[in-house]
This record gives sequence, structure tokens and C-alpha cells, in this order.
Amino acid sequence: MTILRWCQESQAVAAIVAVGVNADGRRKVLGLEIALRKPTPSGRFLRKLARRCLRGVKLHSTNPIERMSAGHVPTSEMTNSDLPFPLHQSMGADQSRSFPVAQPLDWGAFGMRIADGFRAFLIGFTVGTLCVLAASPARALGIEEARHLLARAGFGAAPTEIAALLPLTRPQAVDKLIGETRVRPVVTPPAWTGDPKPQYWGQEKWSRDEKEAFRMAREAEIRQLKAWWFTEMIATPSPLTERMVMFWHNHFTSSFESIGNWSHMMYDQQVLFREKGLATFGALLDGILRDPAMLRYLDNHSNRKGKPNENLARELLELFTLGEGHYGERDIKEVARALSGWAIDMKKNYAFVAVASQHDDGVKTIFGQKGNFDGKDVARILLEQPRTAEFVVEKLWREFVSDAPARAEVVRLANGFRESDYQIKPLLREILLGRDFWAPENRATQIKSPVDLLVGTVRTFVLPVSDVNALPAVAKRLGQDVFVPPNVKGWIGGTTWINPAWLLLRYQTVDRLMSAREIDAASMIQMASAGPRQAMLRAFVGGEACRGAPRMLVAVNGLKVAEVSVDYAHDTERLGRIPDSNEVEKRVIEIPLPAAVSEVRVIKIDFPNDHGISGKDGYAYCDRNLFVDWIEIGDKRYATEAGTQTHVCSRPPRPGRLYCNGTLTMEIAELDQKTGVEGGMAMMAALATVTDAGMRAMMIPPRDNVDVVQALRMRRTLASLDDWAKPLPLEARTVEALWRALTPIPPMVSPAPGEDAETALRRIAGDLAYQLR
Amino acid sequence: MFPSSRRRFLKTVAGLPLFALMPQGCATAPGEVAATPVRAAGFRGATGPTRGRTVIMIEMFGGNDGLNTVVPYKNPKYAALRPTIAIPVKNVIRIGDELGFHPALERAMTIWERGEMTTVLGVGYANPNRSHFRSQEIWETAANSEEVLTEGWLGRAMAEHPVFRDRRADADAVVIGSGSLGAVLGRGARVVTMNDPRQYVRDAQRLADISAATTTPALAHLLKTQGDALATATKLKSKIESRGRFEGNFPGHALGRNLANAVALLDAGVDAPIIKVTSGGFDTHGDQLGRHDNLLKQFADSVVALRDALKQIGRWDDTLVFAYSEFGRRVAENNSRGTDHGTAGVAFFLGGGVAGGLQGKQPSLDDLMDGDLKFNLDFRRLYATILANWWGQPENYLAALGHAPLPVFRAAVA
Repeated sequence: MTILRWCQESQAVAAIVAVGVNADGRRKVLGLEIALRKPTPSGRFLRKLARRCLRGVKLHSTNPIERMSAGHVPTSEMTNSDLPFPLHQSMGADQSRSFPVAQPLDWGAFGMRIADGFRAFLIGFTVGTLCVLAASPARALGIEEARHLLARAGFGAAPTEIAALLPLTRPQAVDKLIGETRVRPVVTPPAWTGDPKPQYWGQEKWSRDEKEAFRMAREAEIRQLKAWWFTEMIATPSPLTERMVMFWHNHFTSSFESIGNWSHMMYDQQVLFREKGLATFGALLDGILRDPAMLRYLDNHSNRKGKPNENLARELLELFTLGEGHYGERDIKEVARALSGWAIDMKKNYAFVAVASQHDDGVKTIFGQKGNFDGKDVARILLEQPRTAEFVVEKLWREFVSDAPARAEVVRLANGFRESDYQIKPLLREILLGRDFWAPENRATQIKSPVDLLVGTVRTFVLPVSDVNALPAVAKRLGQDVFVPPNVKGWIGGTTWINPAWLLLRYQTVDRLMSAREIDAASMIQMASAGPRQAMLRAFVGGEACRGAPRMLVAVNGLKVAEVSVDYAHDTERLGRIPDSNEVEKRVIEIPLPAAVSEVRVIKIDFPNDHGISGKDGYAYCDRNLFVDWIEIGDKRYATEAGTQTHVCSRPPRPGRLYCNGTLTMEIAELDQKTGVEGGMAMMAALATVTDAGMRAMMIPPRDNVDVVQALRMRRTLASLDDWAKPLPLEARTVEALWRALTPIPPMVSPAPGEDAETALRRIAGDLAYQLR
Repeated sequence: MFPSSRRRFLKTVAGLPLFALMPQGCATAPGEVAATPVRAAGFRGATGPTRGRTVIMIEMFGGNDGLNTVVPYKNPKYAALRPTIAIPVKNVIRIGDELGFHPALERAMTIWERGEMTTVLGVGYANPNRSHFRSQEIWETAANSEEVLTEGWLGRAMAEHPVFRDRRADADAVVIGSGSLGAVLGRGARVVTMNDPRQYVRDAQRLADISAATTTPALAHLLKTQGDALATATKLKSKIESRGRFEGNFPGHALGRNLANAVALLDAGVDAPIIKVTSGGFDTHGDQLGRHDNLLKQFADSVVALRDALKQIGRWDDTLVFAYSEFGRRVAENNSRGTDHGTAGVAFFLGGGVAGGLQGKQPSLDDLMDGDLKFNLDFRRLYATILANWWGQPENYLAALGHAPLPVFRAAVA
């Protein structure tokens, strides 16, 4: 019945239906009443019927207890034999299955003046789960619902995002999220993604050195790509887009580690997921069968006529379209034959190529169809299998709804999916508006993935992130290394994200994020705990070397405390310059402070040994430089951006980038006074400038740059509940109610008496319930 | 009196009451140490039940250059292929006619001479992978080069073999520092990571003792895991706090500190079969000499301090130190006075229960595979050795796969 499709939520109710039986024996529904408690027709209901001119009929109720005198409506008893149809066709408490829905009932009289003369009318009831009809005005979302939708369809839920959905009904909210999806990223990807691909092939004659340098350059690229994707996930106005990109990445899996460091191809594969991920499954299937990263990952470039390689064929059937049990070994072999020759042209910038000479051009039999099939036919045939739609629906169900797809719904959704030519947006809309998505029993059923936890926390609490490189490293430590799924099945997710060590690490991670401290790869990975922290100075240092490493002299309060040779500096003579100093490897250098230094007032960092060699064109191909990103004393971190520097040779000028001999000065006492919250100002300055520099390095045209920079500039250190929760309605801004905007279930740990807002936010973010979505 | 060349004298042998050095059948020249100082089988030391034994794993991450760690100093090819980074013959600590240790291992020679250090040569696996992460994964999961397994070898061993289940340790594995968890993750593995014990106790405070009416399987799993983590933390906390800070004499670098914390845990009576630390930085692509020297010095200083500390708390005999790396490095040096990722490498076993000497065979410099050393000992034999002979589980899943243990331990131990 169409009316059931508009279910907004499910609720246990009793439905009392008045059905009139006219002289022809036809049943007409006269009225419907929903009773939340006892399944008893109310006097009001019966009076309403009477007002609609129901006269002179006998009332029959299946439950003798419910027989009642209904006021103006005359009643009398009828026996079974008086009815033109058996009693069991009326509704009873035990016969919810024979609820008129399934019977051909005429609803024409519903709500209308009752004109027919009826021989009888029945009042019966059914109890159970019933749809609250959309005939009532559609409700606007509540806070919990808004949070639920945002958390499932995106990453976390910032108060502004929640507030934007509150005035909307469920369909409006879902339409908004789907309407906002994009096909291009907001943050321009790293510059190298637009370059022709480097020479991955034909390295036999290269020296080992050259091969190593090549490999290391590719690894630097994938690090950039990971950082870029995290930036995109944080900055995008459409997190649903990125969630779908991740979904397809985990469905059509390929791993950077297994494809010979083909960083460019991993990027290209993601472009496919972004451009087609919300289009049609057919477009994705066609695209992925021609995708060089996939062809390489599953060895199809070795799949040749007479020497088949079945890897892609097998995973295509088992993991991408049908699932185990819906194909046979013969099908795999035939599909492999059809995919033969689909390879990569190493000489044409690694583009897809269908090599005719390597294609098995015999007749293949795939799922009953015969022909000289190739990959295009394979895709077509797979889309013709009814199971494919169900498989994809089930996977999306598990991503968005629950671990146990409801069979009937899957079939219904799959039918719609197939009929719409495998369009993904309408399917997504159906899923997100479905009863099961909103059902109470499907809340708090999913454990956040590491990416979910990190990106979601940053987005929810609008946190500053100045070293975005750190986030993929932390995600990896928690078990999710993006672009490197563990195997072709992808990340299983769910409870596999949680073990005692990872759980504690999750708590630590959220805590550090909430402290508005930057998580940087170096300090999370090299967490040095050398004695009392206030006796140490830490600096995040890197450099470029040219026939010798850069040296760093450190003086505190005028007293020289260290001379460091940055031996791990990037060797520019052998490996070339790195255009973006943010990409140069940096490490935490620890410098013990002598006892004479009780309070750090001024730090000076001197770079004394600048050196370079220029080529004939004047370009310094070999160059020695020193880079310092931040200095940490005790628990406070100071971005070098906030310092001053003599001889600033960088373009644009940036303290901390010592390209020529010079001295960087950090007036710690002054910086302390300027900052309000834990070095927030310095961090914001660092964030803004790192962002600008980063953007410039990524060569974003100004037009696209604006949104991202503004979005990132808006991220402030978490100052107070009022600031964070301002967009939320008043009733949600109390300590007791705050959790509804943050977790699907109340936190395990209750508020302490007199708890302030800041503490409340931290408590909730640190709660076990926060790990769920 | 001592010659200027670096020859090691068996100075202390005659004086020590506890053991006698028995050269393996070859006459040794005066003043030269026997090639394989192996302790007599008759040694009776405190072995203790296998149940209480611990393995401290030291992962030398980055690819430790085995060829400069155990140097074939006599072979002219060595110096020829490494013109700037070969260890000069006069600096090598000779342990026989052919081989010698890198001079940075000087301080650890006391352990070697006591026969408490076994060095295994030629360790690797077929179809070597030269990616750090993939090779580390292969080592961690005891996989073949082309297979992808998801469980750590210890994670699996601990789930499958009774010797661990029956032990009821406080925690299955403690990973100190930020090293990879791969080797110890497995079904239900109770793994603890920490930087230092007191920090861990502080962090564990946030594990609230909660129970809730479970509404979803996901929440149930989280609650159970939290409960496990809390139970472990509670056990550890009371032990750690009751003991006070352990006063050892460890070097101040990261490896030293992490091992100091390992001993602190043992001193506090924490029972964990595995403690793992990582020493990074072995990826010496450029300017290898200074960096590698530094790293091996750190290693030597650390294991010496470790031995002293474990002796002090009476745990040297039932603790095994196992040091390994995910691959060795190429034979020929590169253009940056360093080496690139290679294949076969060396591994170390140290401890009171170890028999000492060399195991395995030094890979030949005349028979290289595309410029790389050929391995002759599958790394899984090292694991099988530990499972079978250290933990007394001769029927273990690696043995079933055909990996035979090595005679690393004294007879009384196994």
C-alpha cells in the first residue's frame, strides 16, 4: 500500500478501523483511529462516524470486551452467519495479517460523508507496528534525528550543520544532503596529480640509486595525497560525497602498496569514485574495469589470451557484484577470458588499453549468454543479473543502516535500483528515508571507523588542525591506512576496529584533538617521554642538505644550549629539491635545558652554514636550508611563524624557513601574553599561513581557494560551550541535553554535579558512547 | 701488552666459577676467542618454569645492515663493493677467522663472551619484498611473501596454544613506545600499549568502570573491550604503583628508556609473555657509517644495561631478548655512502637461557641474487624456536608448517 512508503517512524500502536459492509457485501473503510494505549474505539471516533451520517447499522466487534454503546450509533449484535464474509476477514488482535491492507478495500469513503446504506459495520483493531501516516503534517527533524542523519551520511555533526537541518522534514533534509554532493573536490589536489605520469616502466637500466630516489618520491606523493584527502574530508561542504568516495574505495579496493607505488593511478582511481560515485553503478563498473590501478592491483594486465589470470574476474564476481554462492568457477574462467587483453599502455602515460592481440576473442558463455565478450559485455551482463542490485543494496545498507539488511526491503530497493538504471542518488534517498534508517533499534549500532573518529571530531568541534599530515598517520595506527586497504576485501570495520590497545588509543586521540593541540605525526609516533617535560625544549626540524647537512644553533635566554647537525636532511644533490618546505621530512629534536635556565624567555635559532650550487641556468639545484615548524616548551607549543627572523630569504617571507644564513627569534614571554587559550593565536596564525602556503603549493586558483581558507580560518580553538553550541536550540544547550547533539545514546558516564560546559563537552567526547554512531 | 688490533681475549674464562667455555672442536690460536662460545650442556642455572618466561622483542626498524653488523672481513669482495662504508679490518671485533662484529658492539661483547648471545646469520625469506611496510607485515604475520594474513604470529600463537591460555598472564603483550602492534594482534589478544608505566596508569584512569543495558552488539563489544582493558589496567596499576620507580642505569635515548620501562614492569611483577620495543632509524640510505655506528652503539649499550637490570631483579635467566629487522641491505654501497633495501640479515637472541655462538650460515658474497644476499634461514624458524623451546610448545602452528627450531638455548632450558 502506498501509504506505508511514507512511514516516518515506527511505533507500537493499535489501529482501529471502522469498515462498513454494504448491501453487495463490499467492504468500505469508513474511519481509522490510532490508539496508543488500549485498542478501544473511542466514543469520539464513533461520534465522528455518526456525524458523517453513519446510520442504522449494526456494530460488530471481534472482541466482546470492546462492544460498547457508542452513543448515537445504534448497536446490535450480529452473528457470523449474518455477515457476507467470514469473520476472520475482519480485523482482530491476532489477525494483524488480515489487516485490510492486504485485502481489496475501498478507501473511498474514508473521511467522506457516508452515503451508502450499510448492513453492518465492523470495528476491529490490529495491534502491532504500524506506520504513522504521512497524512499528518510532516514533522521537522529533532536534534537527535539531525545528528543521526549527519553522522551516518557524513562525518560527525557540527552545531551549524545540525541547526541547518532542524527546520526541515526528513525528506527535505535528505534531499538537501544529496543535492549538495559534488563531483569535484573543494581543495585542489597536489600539483603533481596534473603532471604526466613519471616513468614507472623501463627502469631496468636505472642505477639502484635512481630507483630508490624514484620510489621515495612516489612515497612522498602518496603521503601528500593522504593529507590532501583528509583536508578535503574536513573542509568539504558535502561530507556525503567523501563518505561515498571512501565507500567505493573500500568496495572496489586497490592498494598503493601493492601496485608498485603508482601514486598517480591511485589518485586517478579516486577521481573515478568522486565523479561517478553518485552517478550510476554501471558507470562505476565500466570505469573500474578500465582503471589502471585496479587492472594492476588484480593483475589483469597479465591476463592474456591463452595465459589467463583470473584474479580480477574472481574478485569482480565475489566482491564487487554478486557475492559468493551466485556464480561458479566456470563463470570466473569465462569472465577472465572476456577481460583478457584489458591492460595498461605503459608508453601512453599508463592509460587503459584493450590490446586486441592479447584478447581471447573466442566465444564465452557467461550466465547463459554466449558471445565474443569483452569487458564492456561483462559489465552489461553483470548488471542484467538481478543479484547485482541486491548485492550493492546490501552493502550500502551495511554502510548506512545496520549489519542486518532486511530482506524484504533489500528486494524492494533492489528492484527500484534496477528499474532506475542503477542510479545511486535515488537509491541513497530511499535508504536514507527508509523506516530502518530511522528506526530506534538501528541507532548506536555502528562503531566509528578511525577516519570517522578523526574527521568527525574535527568537524563536530570545529577544531584547528595545523599539521594535517598527522591525521592519516594516526588513522593508520588505529588500523585504517587510507589508500592501503589490508587486502582486496577492504576494511571489514565494525567491531574489528576495537581491541583494548586501540580503544585506549582512541580515547587518547580524541583527548588530544579536544585539547586543541595539534596532533603531529612526529609527536604521536615518536612520543618521547624523557623525564619532566619542562626541562626539555622540543623543536620540529627538517632541512635540505647539499654536500653536508644544515646546522642549527639553539640559544635560550642568551645561553647556547645546543648545536645540532640535521643529518636526516633531504639530500638535494642526489634527490633534487622539494618545492614545498611543508613536505620536507621533519622530526622532533629534543634539547635538554641546562639547570641555569629556569624560565624560557627568548629562544634564538641560528642557521650558520648556508650553501648551494647553481646550475648554468642559475637554478640552485643543490641547496642547504634549515626548516623549523614549531618549538615546544613544557606543554606549550609555539609556531615559528609567530617569531621574527633576520635575513628572510623565503618567498613569501616566513619565519622558520631559513633559506640563507639567519637567525630566528621567538620571544616566548611576549607570545604567552598574546595567546588566550593554549597558544591558540600562534596556532591560528600557523594554521592560516600553513594553509595559505599549502594552498599556494597546490596552485589553487584564487576562486576555489576562498571557501577552504575561510572554512579553515573559521575553525577556532574550542573556547566555551556557548561559542560551540550557539547554533543549537536553547533546550539543547544544557549540560543534560548536550549529548543529544553528540552521541546516539546517553553517555555512559553521567555529568558531575555543577559540571561546566567545557568539561561536559570533553566528558562526552571522551565517553564510550562517542565511539558509536 | 694487548696488541693494538682488535682481538678479543678470553680474559675472564678461567676465573668464573659458573661455566666453562668449550670450543667446538677447533684449536684456537692463543689470544683469539673461539668462534662459537657455547656453554656446556651441564649448566644448571635458574631456568624456572616456561610459564613465567618473557620475551623482550627489539624490532630494529628500517632494515638493519647485516653485512656491516657481522662483517666478513677477510673477503676482499666486501671492501671492494663497499669502498667508503666497509668497516676497516682493524676495527672489526673478530669472532673467528672469517667474521667479526661491528666495533659499535664492543660493549655487548661481555655478553657474547659469556655465551649469552646467539647471533643468527642469513635470515630472510623467499621472494623478498623490499617495502618497509610490506616486509614488516610479512615478518609480523609470518606470511609467505605473496600471501596476506591478518593475524600477528604471536596473536595467533596466543590464541591457539595452551601454554598461553593456561598462563593467565596480566596482559598478553605490552608494546612500549609507538612500535607496530602487528605481531601481537590477534583474536582476543589483550594488548597494552604504553610509553611508560606511570603514564599508562594515568591514561587508564579514563577507562570508566561502566556497565549498561546493552542495546546493540556494537555497544556490547565496546563494553566488553573496555572491561578487558580496565581489568588489565587495574592489575597492572596495582603492581606498578606498589613498586616505585625502578632505578636502572639505562642510556637516555628512546631505546634505553623503553627497555628501562620494560624492566620496570617486570620488576613490578607484571606478567606478560611479550614485551615489544622498537628501535627505528635503521634505514641508512645515506651516510651510513655514522648513523649505523650510533644505532648499534645504542643497541649494545641498551642490551648491556638490560642484562644488568634483569640480573638485578633476578629475571635474566627467564627473559629472552630477541632482536630482528624486516630486511637487510644491499651488498654494494650506493652513491650516497649508504645502502639500499636488501634481503637477508641478522638476528640476535640474548638471555640467561641462551647457548651463545653463531647459528645459520653467512650468505656468500660470490653467490648474490641481483646484487642481494641470498637468505638461507627462513625467519619463521626463529619464531618456531621461541614457541617450541622457550615456551615449551613444540607442537605449534609454525612447526606444523615445517619450520624447524634452531638450537639457540642451553639444553637445560628447552
